[in-house]
Amino acid sequence: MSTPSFVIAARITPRPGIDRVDPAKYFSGAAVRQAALDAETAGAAFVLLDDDLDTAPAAGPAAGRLSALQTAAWLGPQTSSIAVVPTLRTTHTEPFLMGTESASLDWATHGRAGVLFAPSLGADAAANVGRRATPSADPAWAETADVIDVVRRLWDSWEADAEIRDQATGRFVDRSKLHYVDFSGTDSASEEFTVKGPSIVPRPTQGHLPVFVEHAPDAPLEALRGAVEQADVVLLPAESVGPEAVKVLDWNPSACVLAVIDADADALDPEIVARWVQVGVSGVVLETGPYDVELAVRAAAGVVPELVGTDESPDEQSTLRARLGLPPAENRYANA
Amino acid sequence: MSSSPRRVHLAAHFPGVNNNTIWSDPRSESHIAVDSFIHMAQTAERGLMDFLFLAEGLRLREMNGKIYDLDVMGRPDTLTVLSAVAGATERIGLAGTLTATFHEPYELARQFATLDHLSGGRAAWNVVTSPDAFTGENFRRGGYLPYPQRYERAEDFIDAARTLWESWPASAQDADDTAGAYEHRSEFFDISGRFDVPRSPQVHPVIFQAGDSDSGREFAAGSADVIFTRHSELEDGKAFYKDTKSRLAKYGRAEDDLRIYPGVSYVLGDTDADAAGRAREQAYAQHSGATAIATLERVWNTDLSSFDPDGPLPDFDPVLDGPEVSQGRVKHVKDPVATAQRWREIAQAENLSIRDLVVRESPRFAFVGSADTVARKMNQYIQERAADGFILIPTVVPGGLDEFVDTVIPRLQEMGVYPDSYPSDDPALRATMELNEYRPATEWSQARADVRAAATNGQEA
Ligand SMILES: Cc1cc2nc3c(=O)[nH]c(=O)nc-3n(C[C@H](O)[C@H](O)[C@H](O)COP(=O)(O)O)c2cc1C
Repeated sequence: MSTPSFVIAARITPRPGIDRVDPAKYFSGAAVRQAALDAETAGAAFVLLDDDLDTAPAAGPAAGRLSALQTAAWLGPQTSSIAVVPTLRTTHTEPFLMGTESASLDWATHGRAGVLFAPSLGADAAANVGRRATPSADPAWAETADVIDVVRRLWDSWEADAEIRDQATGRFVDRSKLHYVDFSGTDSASEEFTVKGPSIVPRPTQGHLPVFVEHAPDAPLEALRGAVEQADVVLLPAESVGPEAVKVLDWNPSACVLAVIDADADALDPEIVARWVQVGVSGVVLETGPYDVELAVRAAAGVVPELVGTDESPDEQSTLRARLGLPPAENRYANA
Repeated sequence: MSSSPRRVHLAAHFPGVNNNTIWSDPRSESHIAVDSFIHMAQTAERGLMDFLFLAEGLRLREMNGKIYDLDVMGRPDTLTVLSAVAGATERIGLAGTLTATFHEPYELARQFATLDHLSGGRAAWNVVTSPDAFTGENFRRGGYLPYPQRYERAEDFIDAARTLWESWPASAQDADDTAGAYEHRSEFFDISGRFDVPRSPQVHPVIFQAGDSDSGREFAAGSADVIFTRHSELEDGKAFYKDTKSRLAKYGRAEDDLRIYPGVSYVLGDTDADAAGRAREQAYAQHSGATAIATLERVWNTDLSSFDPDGPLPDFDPVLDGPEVSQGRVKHVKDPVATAQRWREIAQAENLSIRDLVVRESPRFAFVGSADTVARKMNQYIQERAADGFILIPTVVPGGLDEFVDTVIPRLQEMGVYPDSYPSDDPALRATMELNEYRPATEWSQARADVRAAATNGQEA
């Protein structure tokens, strides 16, 4: 397998206090689609679409947002090479549904999708959903690790070749290739939760979608350890990426570590990037907001041309796993 | 003076998890690939249909304690795939089934509002109720809802969702710090805060319901815009139409405010005889020997795997006191012992094998004939008020709708009962279906409260 080039991606969600969105364009999806197409033109690997179940942060007159997962699915048929990575919040949404929605997103994008898992730590998210109390960071992140675990099991619960269409016996599937997950985990209120399975969605196109977790300011990195161990991609803030990358790669040596950096800052210079690469950082996520995405991605690529390589137009069939250099996903239940 | 004819409305069901769908057909492609959904949606759009319809089932079906393996199974999440289809179509409505039992109002309301925004107002929600503990095993809360409460929660759920959909000012340009503020405290929900999605083009997606009991029909009359029903025979359909429409006036609603769309299967042919022959072939393709045995097992409620599908029916009666052998599907046979007895008598009288009998007794295709015959018959249903429209259920994915659009729709157009273009430039499903604009949540709940108060007073008087 060839080493993938330095990853450049864009976070296209409006930045609170910076981007002012025009509601007429924003809520029709038009601005997000344009941002994704601009990122695609500039050669970005994926776009991040943030989401939460709390009150939306103010961005212009409309402090609103759309479901990121559905926006990502909607972008699928309207884009050709860029991948989409929406956030799913693990605290209030049913784990079973996170499994089916994410698998379906992979089908909807022909394998050009990942998913970023994070807890909802706010009281307003708890009040909106009304099922569970506001959690604190440690148990909420521990639950996130359990949710990632059960979602991965749900993806595995159909083996890739379960559909047989065997006319002789009249069977559409070989049920020995479908698996109950019988998962038991601990939620953010220290109570047990269970999921029976199998999924109702066949194994995703990529087997497993790349699983992202991000270290945000609302919790210490240590709280994320279980989730980091389950993740494929770990996003770290640029300011502390050096020391944090060392820890993350100690916990999970095969993680793809990306630095998250404000696209407006001039911080991305070749020397800094060279130092990041030395500690194992594989790329950057530019916080661009929905506007001027193409310019920002091209500017970043210009800083590190020798790392980015010349592959301007990736294979349209290429999955996000392939673009991130992740190995094929194994199935824990196959040949078991 | 005779009034002008009622127009025919059509919609498309992406067929799913049942033996109606013939996966053994050489033309049958993937039931999970997004391109299959897009193909069918685009065909429906070419045929100026109202919407593409998707069902939902949140656990794989089981039979005799094992995963049921004879039908098409596995399907994408409803809202995820409809969002993708929205990105590849422009006019077709997008109707998704989601149960009020295992979803939550805040999340579901923002998902439908998102779909409505991204599609330019084409979203519809088919509200179903699935109170079974079997499905509950996939969810944190398990099976928690007593069967009689299924519509109480569903009604409360819709009220909550409608409250959320209305929580922003008419124009998001006028939004301030209080936009989206809401509160819904009730028997089933205690939620409050700020909804994060501005009003979508339709404000409320079109609301469907699919239950068939008396309380299901009343729920439709008091809360829904459309009923998806199985009543697809002419006389039965007329009775159902009359019954449900007669429930509307007391809620301050007119006949056209609640639309009745039976799900209908069809087989076309060059001639009626040709179609009849094809229908017979397809019926056998839908019922392999293994499927015939499984159909019998659902009536007898016991393992019949030792029976030969080409041999005679069991000579004993169904098991009534055992656990349900079939899990995860809507039950249609209400009296198994009587059904079994009738089936034995027919099989004996006509010398039928198990498979022959099951084919004979399974629901027939609703419309069989040449394009001309099918167009006439469909039109008859509409003019005689057995339906307001049809949800077509093809047997083959994804091309099973193509022939219908190419041959039957031109006939309906010639008859003057089907339009040559979408009725409005507005892609909103309410405009396409010529439905009223949304009715505010408080009006819905007030009308229901008045009806209930009147009923109680009537009893006391
Ligand atoms: C035509 C029809 C279609 C239905 N489709 C679904 C479905 O897709 N998913 C589901 O969970 N339940 C579905 N249901 C189940 C109903 O929501 C309801 O739970 C069931 O019919 C029992 O309620 P009832 O006694 O009022 O009929 C369907 C029911 C009918 C009659």
